[in-house]
Amino acid sequence: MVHKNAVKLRAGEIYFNLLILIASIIVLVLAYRISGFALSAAGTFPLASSSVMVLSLLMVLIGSRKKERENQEGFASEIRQTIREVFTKDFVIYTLLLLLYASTIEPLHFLPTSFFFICLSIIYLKGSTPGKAVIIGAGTLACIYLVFLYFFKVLLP
Amino acid sequence: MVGKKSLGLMIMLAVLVYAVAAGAAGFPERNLQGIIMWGAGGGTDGVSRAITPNVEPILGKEIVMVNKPGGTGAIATQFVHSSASDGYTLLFGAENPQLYGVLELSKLSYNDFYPVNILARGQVVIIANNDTPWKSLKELVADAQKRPGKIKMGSTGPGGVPYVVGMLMKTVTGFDVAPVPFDGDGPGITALLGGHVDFIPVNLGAASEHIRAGRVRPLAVVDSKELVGNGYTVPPITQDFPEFGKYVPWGPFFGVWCKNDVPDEAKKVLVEAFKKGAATDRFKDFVASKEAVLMNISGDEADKYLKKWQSVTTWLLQDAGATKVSPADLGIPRP
Amino acid sequence: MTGSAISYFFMAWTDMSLLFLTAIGTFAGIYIGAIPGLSVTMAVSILISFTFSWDVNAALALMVGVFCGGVYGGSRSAILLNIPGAPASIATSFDGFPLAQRGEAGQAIGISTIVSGIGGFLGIIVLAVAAPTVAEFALKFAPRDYLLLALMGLLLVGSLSGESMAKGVFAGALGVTLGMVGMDPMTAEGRFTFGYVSLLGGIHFVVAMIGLFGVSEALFQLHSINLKPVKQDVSKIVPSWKVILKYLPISLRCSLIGVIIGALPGTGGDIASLMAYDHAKRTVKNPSRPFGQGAYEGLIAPESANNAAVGGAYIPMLTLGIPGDAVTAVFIGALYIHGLKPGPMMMIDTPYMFWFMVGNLVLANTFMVLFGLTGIKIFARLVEVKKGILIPCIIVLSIVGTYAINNSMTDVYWMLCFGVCGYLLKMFGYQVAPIILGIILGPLMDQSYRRAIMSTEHNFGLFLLDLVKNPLTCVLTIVVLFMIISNTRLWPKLLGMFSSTKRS
Repeated sequence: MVHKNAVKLRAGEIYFNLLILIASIIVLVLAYRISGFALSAAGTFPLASSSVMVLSLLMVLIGSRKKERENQEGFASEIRQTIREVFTKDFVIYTLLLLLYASTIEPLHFLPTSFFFICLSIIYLKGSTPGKAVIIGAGTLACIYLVFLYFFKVLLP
Repeated sequence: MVGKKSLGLMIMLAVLVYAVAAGAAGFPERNLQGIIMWGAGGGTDGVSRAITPNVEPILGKEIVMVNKPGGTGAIATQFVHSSASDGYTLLFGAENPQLYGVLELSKLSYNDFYPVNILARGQVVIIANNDTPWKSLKELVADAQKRPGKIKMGSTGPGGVPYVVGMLMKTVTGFDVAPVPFDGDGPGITALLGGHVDFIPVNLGAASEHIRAGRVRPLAVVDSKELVGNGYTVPPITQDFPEFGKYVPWGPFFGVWCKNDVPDEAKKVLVEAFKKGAATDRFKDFVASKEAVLMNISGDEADKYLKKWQSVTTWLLQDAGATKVSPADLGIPRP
Repeated sequence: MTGSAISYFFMAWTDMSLLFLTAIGTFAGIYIGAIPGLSVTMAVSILISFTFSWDVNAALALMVGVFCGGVYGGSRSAILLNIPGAPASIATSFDGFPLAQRGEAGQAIGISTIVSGIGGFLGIIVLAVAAPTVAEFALKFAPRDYLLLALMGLLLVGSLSGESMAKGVFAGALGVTLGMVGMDPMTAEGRFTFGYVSLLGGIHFVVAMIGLFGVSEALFQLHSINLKPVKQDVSKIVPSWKVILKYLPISLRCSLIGVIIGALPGTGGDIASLMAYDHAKRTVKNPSRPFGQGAYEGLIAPESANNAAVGGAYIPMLTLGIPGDAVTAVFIGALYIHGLKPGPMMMIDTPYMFWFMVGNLVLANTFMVLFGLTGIKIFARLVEVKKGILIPCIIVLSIVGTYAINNSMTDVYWMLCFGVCGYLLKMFGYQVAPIILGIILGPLMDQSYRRAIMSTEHNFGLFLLDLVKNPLTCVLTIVVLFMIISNTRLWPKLLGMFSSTKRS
């Protein structure tokens, strides 16, 4: 669904798979430490599911040995392509903006931070002119305020 | 520009004056927040949502109710404990925090809170599936001793009512049954009705309608007095086993707490409001329909009750070998 | 007696104030359902305090409306934005969103409204006609049967894995592992909590759902930020009789699945709709388009099932006082507050309440279809909004919605983490739907398995014997085995052998 060329390996796919394999192995160790091997204990299912994670990733990696790589010009070039395709400028900047937004909600209260976030991102994503961005931001927040704070009594941070 | 600034100053001043004036008028000057430690639809949720509409008119403000379930209430307890000590955040909870220490769930317990009101306590009955042969608790225990580990007892995770009463029965009678933990009273009774467990100790409120309909058989009530219900009676657990005498009556309780260091003035307002709210007919009827016992106690009286409950229950679990930390290490005296 | 039953059945229809309340409730429910994070459970709990001083009938009329509307409303955002408004509409997004991307959002909403109505009415019919029988049947499900049901649901991973089965299995297992985070309810031990109290509650699956669908989709859309949105064709919204009749059989089959799963006390509309989707995928030989690319069958199945599960959830509530799902659990609390005693005696003590609620459900369902079919044109235009405006709004809504579930910022951080990880996984050919499947079904499997083992004195042999001894369990076991075999390469071979022997 995402990529047309499922036959070829995406740039960086092997490294990504290796990375999550390492993470999965760590999870497996953590799961083992819950209650060791037992027929029915708190740790049985975590152990089973994390083993399946590791095994299925091994299958993925074995399967990918047969596949042709999209980028065959060495490690550095592949990483560069990965950054170009996956960690695009938009993605990195937007994710950072998102993190900044989430981390300022608590100290600065929800409404002002969200207002700035909506306005800034609409302007950055060229969704609309700054003037309209302010109107859209205010309108959205007014709706959210009405529904969540007024009717649902959610006490926003 | 100057105009704008001075306007802002004026607004700030106005707000300040208003706040001071309201402060003089007394607690509460804005809406309160009620944190329920169990999810929507549970017993604690029901009691909490039944008491608040009775208290709100007395306080003159709303109590905004929020469910914060997880870790048998440890998350909600932690949340209220880390909120401001102004009396605007209330904890609506059940007995669970009294066991956090011995189960190593959290360092907090109700010792860290002020009991605004202990509203009601529940009664516990031991009920059996209709297909089982037992007519009394004595027969059940005798059967369990004949076939150790074969009889299935409905239970919950550590700290739940069926779990604790199961431990109590194990300590006193020494029987050996296979506990199967469910998510609570409701799922436990469902399993009992389906015949997937043989008996279960549960809150009377969850079981009474099933007893009345004759779909389950009551064996005993965890009390020293006979239970006279709506069209049925249940013998006390002490009838067959007088050794239970020093533990009963035992059951869960529901109440409202605030932080210990809330100003006395606010505490007083809260205590009075809940005292009046719990005395309304509407709430009394609700408690009666849940087959619970109205308590409506606060302050020192409530504190004493909480300490006794904690001491009896934690040492009971300790003697049954079900604790991770000894109550002695937590400074809980043996009853 | 029958006369009064009929009069109670039509009470909500003839009393103007009750009629109005049901209508308001249904209308509000559709929007509550459509907003991710605002759940029907939450709305109904708030309504308990709100309707405290009301008459019980009026309070119930409003709540029933919210329930029916809310379950249906989740499909709106699933189709239009690929963000399920509620867990019960996760499966709706699998084929609903591709339809919106083809410019058929209007038709998708139209047909999902009609089949939601069909599902809802079938659920009510079963409730009215066979409630006691179905309730007794539902009680027969033992922990081992829930284990098998969860396993059936999890096997759906096979049809959701996209390009590679191994990647799908990984995603499913990751979901199961994430579902284990938090305090183990059976032993009170922390699992993957690293000693933090805030992790004891675990990861709410709606948090994962909003992150993996909402935020990761928003991040993914950044790639095509400058693409012109698809023009929506809103000319033929209400499906013709011919179309309805064509899809009626699959809709009815899935509704039946919905009623039964809804009536089981341990499962609700979310699992029902996933199982219905799986059923459609296995039984429909020639779908209108391949599943996952906008098959109408893939939209009809979950939408019929989740609304049928409403009627199903009422069955154990009204006959035994046992909640069929989270919302009916709150309903039971509301009944107590209004002085009624839900339980096996309610049908005997106050039989009119039963007929009042059935009549009210019918009314709410009718309103649901009416409101559902109006205003679709405006909704469909939502997809045509520029992405530069839509994406920020989706993100803010995701954050508020996540916060609203448990009033917790920890959940918000989890949700964002899911969003970014979901984006990366998508970019490298992993599907996110199996993760949600794992988070929902993992805990059910874990607990059911351990309960089943404990019921057999920790004896694995006896546990296996139990799987075939009981007739109900035996049937479920056979179904699970069949599903596993048909997912492997052995199946085509077996089929080939069978057809060749027949030919010779």
